[in-house]
Amino acid sequence: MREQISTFLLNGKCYGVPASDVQEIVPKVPITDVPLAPEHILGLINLRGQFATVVSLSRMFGLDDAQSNMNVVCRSGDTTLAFAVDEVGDVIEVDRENVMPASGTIPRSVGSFLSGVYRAEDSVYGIINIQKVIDFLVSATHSVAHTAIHSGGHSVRK
Amino acid sequence: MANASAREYFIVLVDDDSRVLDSISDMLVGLDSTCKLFLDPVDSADFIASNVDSVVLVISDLQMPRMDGFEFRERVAQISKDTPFAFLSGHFNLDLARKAMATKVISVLEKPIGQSDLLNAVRSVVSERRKTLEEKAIIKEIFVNETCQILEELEPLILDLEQDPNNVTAVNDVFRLVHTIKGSSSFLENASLPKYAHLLENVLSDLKSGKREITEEIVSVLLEALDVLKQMTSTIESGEPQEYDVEELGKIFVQCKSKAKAAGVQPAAGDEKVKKQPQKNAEKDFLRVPIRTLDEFMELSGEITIVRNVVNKLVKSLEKHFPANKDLSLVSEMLEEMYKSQSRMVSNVLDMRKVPLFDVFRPFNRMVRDLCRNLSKDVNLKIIGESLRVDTSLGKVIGDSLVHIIRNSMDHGIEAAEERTKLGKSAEGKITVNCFENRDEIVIEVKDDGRGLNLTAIKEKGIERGLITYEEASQISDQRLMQLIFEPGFSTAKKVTDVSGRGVGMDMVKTSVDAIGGHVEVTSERGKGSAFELRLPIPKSVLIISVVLVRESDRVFAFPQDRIEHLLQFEASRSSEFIREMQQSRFLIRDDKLIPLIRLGEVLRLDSPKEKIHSEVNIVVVRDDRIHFAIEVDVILDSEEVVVKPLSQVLSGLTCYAGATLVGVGDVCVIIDYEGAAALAGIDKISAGDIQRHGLSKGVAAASTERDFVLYRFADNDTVYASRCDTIYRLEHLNPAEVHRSGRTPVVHYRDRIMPLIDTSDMLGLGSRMDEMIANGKELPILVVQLSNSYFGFCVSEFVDVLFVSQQVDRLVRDRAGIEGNLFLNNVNYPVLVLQDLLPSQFHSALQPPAGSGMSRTVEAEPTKLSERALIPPPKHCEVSSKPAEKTAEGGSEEAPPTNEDGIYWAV
Repeated sequence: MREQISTFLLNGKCYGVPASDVQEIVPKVPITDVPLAPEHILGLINLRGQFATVVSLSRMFGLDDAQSNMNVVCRSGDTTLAFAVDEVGDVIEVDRENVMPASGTIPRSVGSFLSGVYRAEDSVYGIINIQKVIDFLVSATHSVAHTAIHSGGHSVRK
Repeated sequence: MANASAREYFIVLVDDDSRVLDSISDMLVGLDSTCKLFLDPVDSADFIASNVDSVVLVISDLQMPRMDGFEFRERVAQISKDTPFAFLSGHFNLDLARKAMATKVISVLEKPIGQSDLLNAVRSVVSERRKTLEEKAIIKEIFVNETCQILEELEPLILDLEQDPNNVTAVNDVFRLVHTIKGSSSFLENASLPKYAHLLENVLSDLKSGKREITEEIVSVLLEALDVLKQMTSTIESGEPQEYDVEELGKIFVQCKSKAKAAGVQPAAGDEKVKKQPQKNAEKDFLRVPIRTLDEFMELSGEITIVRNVVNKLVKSLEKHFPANKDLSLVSEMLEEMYKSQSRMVSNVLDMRKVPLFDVFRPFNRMVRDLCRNLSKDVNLKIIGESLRVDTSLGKVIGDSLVHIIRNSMDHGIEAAEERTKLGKSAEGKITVNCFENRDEIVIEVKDDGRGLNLTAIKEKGIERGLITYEEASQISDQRLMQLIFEPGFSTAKKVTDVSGRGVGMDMVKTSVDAIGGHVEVTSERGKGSAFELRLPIPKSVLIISVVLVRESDRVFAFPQDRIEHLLQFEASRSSEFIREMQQSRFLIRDDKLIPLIRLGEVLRLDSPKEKIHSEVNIVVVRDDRIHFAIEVDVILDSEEVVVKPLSQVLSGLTCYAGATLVGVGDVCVIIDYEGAAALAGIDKISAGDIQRHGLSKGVAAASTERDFVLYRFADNDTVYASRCDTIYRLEHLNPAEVHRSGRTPVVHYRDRIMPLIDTSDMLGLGSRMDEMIANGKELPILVVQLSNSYFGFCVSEFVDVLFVSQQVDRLVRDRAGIEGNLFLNNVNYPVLVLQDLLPSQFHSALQPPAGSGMSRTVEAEPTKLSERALIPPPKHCEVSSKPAEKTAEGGSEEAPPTNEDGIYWAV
C-alpha cells in the first residue's frame, strides 16, 4: 500500500503527515491566543470563516520554539488543527511497508506522537499521527482547566 | 428498501484445484455477485452457514480430499435446502450424473465448460434466488421494525398489570400484541420465535379467560418472556440463524401454572380491539429517516442562515448608497420573503429531530420495578412533563444519564422500608423526575426523598483521592463539595453492588452532559434527599447572539449580552464608593447588595501590562437565576451580532469559553462563558431561591466589614433582626441529628471543638424555639460567633439576607440588652443585635483569655462590654441611591434582526 505524505521541516528535522489529513497549507497569519490553554496551543486562526487551532509541535516535542513560517492545516473529524512549521516540503509517496515503528533512537517525547518513521535516501521522516496529537491536547486542556478551577479558591486573588 | 438492493450477494465455488476456481470465477463476473472461492468444502460450508441469506449459488466439484461432493451437497441442503447448488466435474458417467441429479441440484455441469454454457445454466437461477433473498430481507426488516415497536409497547402494559391485576384492557392488549408477533414471525424461516410466542400466548389466553390469576409471579414471568422475545428478535436482526431450545425456555410458563384461579371475574371481551386500529393505519404516513440525514439538514440550514445574514447586511448597505433604486428595494423585498420561508424551514428541521421524552423514559418503570426487587426496597417513580419533546441528541443523553442517576438514588439514596418507617418517612420512597423547558435549555430534575448525600464521607473521600486538600476541605462550601461526586471514580459507597457503587456512573453522566454543552448539578439535604438537575442547551442549527465586546490586557473578548444586567463605568477616583475590598475578595456594591467582583485578566491569568492606570473603571454585571457577579475589564467596546462557533475539541475543556467568533474585519475573538468563568474565579452559584446560602458560601463573615449585616428572623415573629457580619465567624446550617446534649445545653461538634448552641429567641425573651426545631428535625440556621478560641452557635429560625448598609445604626432606642440600635432601610426597621451580649452567663467564665496569647479582634474586650466599643464612623458619602454612570446593554440598532427576550434569535 502506498500512501502520500506531506512533509515539512520543524526545528531542522523532517516530519510528515498523511496527505489525506491535510486540508491546506497557509502562510503564517496573526494568531488570537486563547488564555489558559496549554502552552502547546498557540491560539486560533481564521480560515475563511472557519477556525483552526494552531498547535506548536515543537513545544509538544519538548524542543525550542520553531520559526513557524507556515501552517499545515489538518483535519480529523470535526477538529481542524494548524501545525506551525518552519518550512513546507514536498509530498512524497511512501510504501507503508517501509514505515517502521518509532524506535529507541527517537526520544519518547517525539515518538509518542508518531505512527512511524520513514527512512528515505536523503533523510528520515517522522510520520505524525494526528489522532494522538488530538488526544494529547484534549487531556492537556482538561488538566490545565482542572488545575485552574481547583486553585481558584476565593473570589479573586490580589 | 434501499438497503436490500445495496446488499452483497455471493456465489460459492468449491474445487480442490485453484486454477479451476480462478477460471470459473472469471466467467461469472457478469452476474453481479461476489465469488467466494474455497479449496476445502468444510470451510465453504461454514461460510454458507453464516451467510445463508446472501448466497445465491453454490458450484462444487465432485471429488475432493476432505469431503466428497455428495456429502458436501447434503451438508448444504441441511443448512438451507433452497440454496441453488450445481455440480461441476470432469469425471461424470451416467450413474454419477443420475445420482447427482437425485440430490436436487439445479444442474450437473461437465468440465471443461465455456463461459456461455456456464452462464446459460446458472443465470436465471441466480437472479431468481437473488430476488427471493431480497424479498426475504425486506420481510425480515419489516418484521424486526414492527416487532421492536410492539415489544416496547408491551413492557408498560405488563407493568400496568402488576399495579392493577383487574385491568382487562391491558390483558387484552398484551394478548393481541403477542398474537401479532406470533403471526408475523411465522413468515420467517425462524422456528423458535413463533413457537415461543405460541407458548406465551397460551399463558395469556388463560389470564384472559380468568383461568389463571394475575399475580406478581406471573408478571415476572411475562417480563422474562418479554426479554426472551427481545433476544430472539435481535438474533433475527443480526442475521445469524440461531434457534433456541423453546421447550427449555417454555418451562417457566408451566412452573407457575400451579395456581389455578378458583373463581374470578370473567373479563368482558370488549371492543378494545377496534380502538387501536386507526393508529396502525396512521403509521403508514410516516417515514423512518436516519438521524444523520437530519444532522446534515440542520448543518446546511445553518450555513444558509449565515449566508443570508451576510447578504442582508450587503443589501442594507447598498440601500443606503442608492436610496431610490427600485430593483434594489425589490431585492430587499424578495429577500424578506425568502427569510420567512427559510425560517419556517429551519424550525421544521428542528421539530423533525424531536422525540417525546415519553419514549426516552419508557424503560425506566421496568428498571425501577426490577431494582425494587433486587434491593428489597419500595420506590415509586413519578415522571412529570414526559410529553415534552426534545432534540434526539438530548434524548439520548437524558436517557443514559437518568439510568445512572435513578439507579444511584435507588441504591444509595432511598432507605429500606423499615428504616424509612423508623425515620418517620413513608415506607415507599419517592423519586420524581420533572422535565421542562426554560429559555434555551431543557431542564430535567430528579429528586429523591432518601437519606441525602453524606458530606462528611464525601469530604473524607475527596481528601483521600487528592481532589481537595485538607485545608480546602475545611473551607469548601457544601455546594462545591457535593459536586465532587461527579469526579471520575468517586464513590463513597462502602460496598460495590451490581447496581452502583463503582464510581463510574456519575462521572459518565457529567461527561455526556458536558459533551453537549450542558450542566449537571446536585443538591442535597442530609436526611431529606438529593436532587439532580440536568440543564441541556437546545441545539440550534446556527447560534447568532448579541455580544458586548470588551478589551482586557490588549485582547478583545466577547460577552454574551443576554445575561448582562448592567454595564457600569465610573471614575477610578470614586472606586471606594462602589467597590469593597475584603481580605482576598472584592465586591461591587449595588442596591445595598454585595456582588462578587472579579477582574477578567486575573481569572484568565493574563499578564497585564505593568501597572495599568485607568482613569475609568469599567464593570460588566452579569446575572441570571444561577449566578450574579461582576467582571471588571479595561474598556467596554461595542455590541455586535455574531455567529457562535464552538471551540475545537482540543479546547473544549476550557469551560470559561462558550465558543469563538469573528468580529470586525475578521478577527478571531473568544466568547466568555459566565458560569465557567465564575467557577474559575471560585464564585459559587446561587441555589435557586436560597439567598442565605449565597451569603453563606461567600464566607461573608470572614471577609466583611462593619457595614455588612446579616439579616435573620425568628418563627412567628415579623421582626427581622440584623447583626454585623464582622462579629460573626460564619453562617451555618446544622443538621439537628448532630446535636448532642451536655447536661441541659445542646452542643455540636464544630471544627474540632464543642460548640454550645444558644436559643437566641429565648435569650431575647421571645420564647424558646430551638428545642422544638431540634425535635422536629428541622435544619438549624446558626450564627457562629468565635470568642476567645471558643465557638458559640446562636440559633435563629431563618436567615433572610446579607446586606451592605451605607447608613449608620441609629442608637437611640436600645430597650434590651444585646440591642445595639436600629437600622431603618426601605421603610423597614431592623433591630441590630450584638450576639455576644446575649451569651448566657454560664459561658462567661470560659472566655477569660489565656494570658499572653495572641488574641483575635473580638476577644479584646470583655464580652459584656462589647456593645460599648466605639463604632467606626461610617464613610462620608456612599449614597447607594446615587447611581453610577451607567450605559445600558440594550443598544441594538434598527437594522438588528428582531431578538427574543433572551437575546438569542433566529435571524428572521
